Amino acid sequence: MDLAEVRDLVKRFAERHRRTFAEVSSRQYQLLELGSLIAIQQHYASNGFETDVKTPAGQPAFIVKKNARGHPANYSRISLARDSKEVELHLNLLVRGAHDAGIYCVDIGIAEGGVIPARYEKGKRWNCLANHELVSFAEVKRLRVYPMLLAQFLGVVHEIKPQFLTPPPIDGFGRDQHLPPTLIVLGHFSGNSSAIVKAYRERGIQVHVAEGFDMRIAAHRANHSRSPLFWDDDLEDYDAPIPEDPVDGVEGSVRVGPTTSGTPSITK
Amino acid sequence: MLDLAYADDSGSRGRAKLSLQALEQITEELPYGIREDILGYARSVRDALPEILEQEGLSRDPFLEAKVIFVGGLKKLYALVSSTYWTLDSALVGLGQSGVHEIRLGSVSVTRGSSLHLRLRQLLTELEELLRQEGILQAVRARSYAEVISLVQDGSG
Repeated sequence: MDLAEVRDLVKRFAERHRRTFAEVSSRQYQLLELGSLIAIQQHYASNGFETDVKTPAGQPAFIVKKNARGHPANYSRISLARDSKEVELHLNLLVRGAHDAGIYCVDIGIAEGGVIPARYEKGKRWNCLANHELVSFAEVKRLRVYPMLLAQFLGVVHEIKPQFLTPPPIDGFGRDQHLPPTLIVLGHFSGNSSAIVKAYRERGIQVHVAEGFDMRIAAHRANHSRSPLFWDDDLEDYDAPIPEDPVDGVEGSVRVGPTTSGTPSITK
Repeated sequence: MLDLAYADDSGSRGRAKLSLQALEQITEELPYGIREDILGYARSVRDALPEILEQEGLSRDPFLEAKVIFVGGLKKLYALVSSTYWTLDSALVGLGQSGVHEIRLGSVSVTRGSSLHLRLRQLLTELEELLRQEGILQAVRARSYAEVISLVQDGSG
């Protein structure tokens, strides 16, 4: 490999496509949220859930909700059903906090099916989803995973779904089941953040961190993983014992930066 | 010509610095966020390399490490381009299977074949072709850094 030649070619490539890269950058967060929504749908599909995409009445397009404003009936949602149980995925969903009257906007809400109105009801204002009707949620960040980001995410979980922060683990959530509260991050682990995430299981904290989301998407698209949010060798259950000896340098569900594992952390 | 034989610092650190400088030159026209993603990832590869080499039973080799760090930066660029296109395409395909063929992102309407979709596809296609012609596409798409190291050593990445 002639490093200088490759450098010059890629540099010219980047210059030639400056406009497209600018659009990638400006739309990256919207696409990241949309991609995360679809990844969650694909995660549920990999666990046997049937999918039904619902658009607002009269709209042929999937309408993306970009922020907290607006009635959910004006935006698209995805319904997922298995064994007569149904959940819905919503972007930028307002939900009541677990401790008080506070209302939070989660990037992706996984709500019980049929509880969020699909059309306006005259004279009825919809403020937010009741806390007990929220099954789980995901927060999406285009940053690197750093310790304070993790602490902030646990703070969000504490305010909205604190039951996931204390043992015992809640049944029905994990790699092959419903998604636990999940932090989806474009960037990789920095500093000692991977050690922090690794310790969550021992501490009885039932959350999932899907870092390197672009790598995961690429792996899933190349059929190297069943779910775009979990690697295939991630532990299935939160109360499963952590192997004492690392398997090929990988422990539990945490990838400590680039690894030498035969399973992908950096994708093909 | 980027000559890794001569560096300000000795050994691995100096050559790693040159690889990062090459990546800085590549990314200087890119938006800040993308640039920082690529450079930050390359630094994490640099930091993890000693452990990876030890696990693979390999000795430190400044020239090899420099190439692996550089490939690491390209892997991040490729992953960004690939995942952006495939995220959008997968969303369109996934929604299409449910009979919805258009995504509205604010005022922009995106379908398979729309301007944004085509430009992202072109970006990915050109990057893949460039890397293939330079013989490093396989290394950039490798599943693990053990594989990257092997391909770079062989010169067949």
